[in-house]
Amino acid sequence: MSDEHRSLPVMQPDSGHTDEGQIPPIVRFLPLQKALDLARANSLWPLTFGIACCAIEMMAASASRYDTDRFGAGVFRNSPRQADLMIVAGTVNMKMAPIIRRLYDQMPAPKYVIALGSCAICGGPFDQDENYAVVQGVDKVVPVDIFVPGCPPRPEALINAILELQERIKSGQTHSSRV
Amino acid sequence: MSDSETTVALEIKPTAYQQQLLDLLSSLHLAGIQLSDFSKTGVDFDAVANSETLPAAASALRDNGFALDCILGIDRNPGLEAVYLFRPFADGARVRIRAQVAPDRALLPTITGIYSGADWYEREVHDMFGIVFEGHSHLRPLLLPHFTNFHPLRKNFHGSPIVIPEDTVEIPEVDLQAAMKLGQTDRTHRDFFLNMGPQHPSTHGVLRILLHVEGEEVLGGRCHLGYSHRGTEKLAEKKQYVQILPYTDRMDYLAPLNYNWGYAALLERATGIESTPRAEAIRVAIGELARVSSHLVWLGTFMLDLGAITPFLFCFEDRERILTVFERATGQRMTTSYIVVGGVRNDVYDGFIQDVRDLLDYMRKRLPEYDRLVMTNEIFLQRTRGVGVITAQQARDQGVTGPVLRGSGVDFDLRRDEPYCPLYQELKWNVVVEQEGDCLARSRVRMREMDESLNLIEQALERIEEGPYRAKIPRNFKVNAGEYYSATEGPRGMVGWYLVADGSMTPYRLKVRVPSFPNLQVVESLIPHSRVADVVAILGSVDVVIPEIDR
Repeated sequence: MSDEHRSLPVMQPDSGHTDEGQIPPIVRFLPLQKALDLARANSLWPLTFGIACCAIEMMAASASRYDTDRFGAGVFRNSPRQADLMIVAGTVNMKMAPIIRRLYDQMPAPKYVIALGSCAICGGPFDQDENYAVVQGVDKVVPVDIFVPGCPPRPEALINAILELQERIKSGQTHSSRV
Repeated sequence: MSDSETTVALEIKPTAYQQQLLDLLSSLHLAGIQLSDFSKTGVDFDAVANSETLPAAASALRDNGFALDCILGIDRNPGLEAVYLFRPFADGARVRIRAQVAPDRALLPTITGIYSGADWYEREVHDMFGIVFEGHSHLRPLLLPHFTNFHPLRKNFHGSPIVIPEDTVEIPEVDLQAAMKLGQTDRTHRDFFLNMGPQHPSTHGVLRILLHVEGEEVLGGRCHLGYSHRGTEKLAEKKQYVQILPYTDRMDYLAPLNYNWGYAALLERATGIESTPRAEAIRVAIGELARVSSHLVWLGTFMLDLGAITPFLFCFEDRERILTVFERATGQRMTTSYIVVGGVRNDVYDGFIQDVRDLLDYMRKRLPEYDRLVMTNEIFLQRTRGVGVITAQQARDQGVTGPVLRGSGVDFDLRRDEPYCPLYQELKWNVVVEQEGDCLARSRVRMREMDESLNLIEQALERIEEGPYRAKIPRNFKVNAGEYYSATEGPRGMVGWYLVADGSMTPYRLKVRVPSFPNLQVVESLIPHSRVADVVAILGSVDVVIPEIDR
């Protein structure tokens, strides 16, 4: 299938996109911003949201042996309204994509997205000719901060992604902080 | 492909039981009734029906204790075909009934009035092939989004643009009523619709259940599937046989080894390759370990659904120990692709047997702890006893298999009743059965199954003898034209594989009959007149894996 048939990406990755609903602050107070970023980085609240295989590794990462609580990212929230980190763990198909977008929109800003595993990055093993279901990467639907390769990635890889995300939040390099 | 290629009339005389079935089938006005060689095709009887004879045949089979295995579609190009597979639990005789239709007038009568489990199967065939089942009350898309206008498994379909719609969640009120199969009179003035999922912590993946509730009481519910549909069956038609193996891992990620095994068993049946004794012992050991690890995830997440966090932490730690062994033996924690045609992909490492023995010792201490922690816990008993009762007849009509079936008092396990590995008949173990059919019974079955699996592993370890771990087969191979069916027992029930081969290196059609599909369907009939909290308990006790259902 050629590229022009892959129609209607909701969002182009890395196009300097900003969130529609987000209004840039009128006054920016830099030291306070830094303090807030530090606090946000060290208490990420992920959304309980698994789609496929990677979700099990996400659960394993939050369970006893790997324990993401050590990095302040273990409070899985069941409602998107309480979460600020979405870990897209699994294959996104065209029935699921608008729901991911809706969940993302429901999360309060600033919010961050980790694409966990090959499927969420580019469709993974399901990116094939005659494919009729799988969206080739979740970055067509929501802006992604960290991509974690693997099929599925090990829990250590997710922990590494969380640490990397924390660094980016602290240095203001996430999609959410580029408002 | 003609039938004569796939179905060989046996030289030998049919047994008394087979004769009895033959007589039954001939009394149903079916055409082309044939005995088939089970060891080669996985089917005992073949028959061809048309729109007139199909419902009567299904009805007669149901009266004779047959359960519905699955319904699948095949595009014969030209011409479509629906294949119905039936099997009684007690005696092993699989009956295949084909019904052919023209692509421009693809009409068949529904059998949902006879087998309630046919509901979703018919909807899936309608999705994928466009066969219309007349009389079906709710022939809406099941796996595909509601706006799709193509039938992906037809041979003249070659992909479609991926459209990300604005929203698939919104359904107008009228559609909601239709989705719930409600008439005007079924609405009360205090009822409302409640969406459970696709993002919901206790739907175990991206399942959406539309509940019709009045206060806390659930009046009814409909499952909406397809949020994890990946088109694996279409992809399989483009892939060589060896390339399909990794996709089997990703269907049931909790027990990929059992899926690898099922696929390997199918190809072994189709090609006549036999695996080596060493490989069989390794398969049993590692396959049963996968069963234990899958049941551990079930226990942890089920308890999480019921509000207990501690068992989740315990279970995942135990599972990590099993995964460590998997990783050393297969190279991967979850997506193993380990069990291949003719044996296993690579030999187990030195010290595998000792590692597994240590694991067994450890698990034997842990399982009684779980019994004390969970199975005797008063809150757990209150939440599960008498909740979500499935009767044996209901289970048969719905085509339920696995621990859910055994929790309803039906003594049926493919490892014993349709052996795909000789070791299962030589080793000492029991099929676990509980009578009550409620959530508690299903939980007890799984807990006791873990014990039995440990016994099986221990005995299988002693059978790992010196020898090749894999039969000598070419790296790539063709499968002779024909149709093959093979069923194995996964942790959730019967994993059936239906292969239509055309003699090339790729399958013409590969259908996976997944256990969670009918197991989830039965939930729809359990939830009326329960509480919202019970829905969570029922769903957790049934133990579904959504990507396996959606494929």
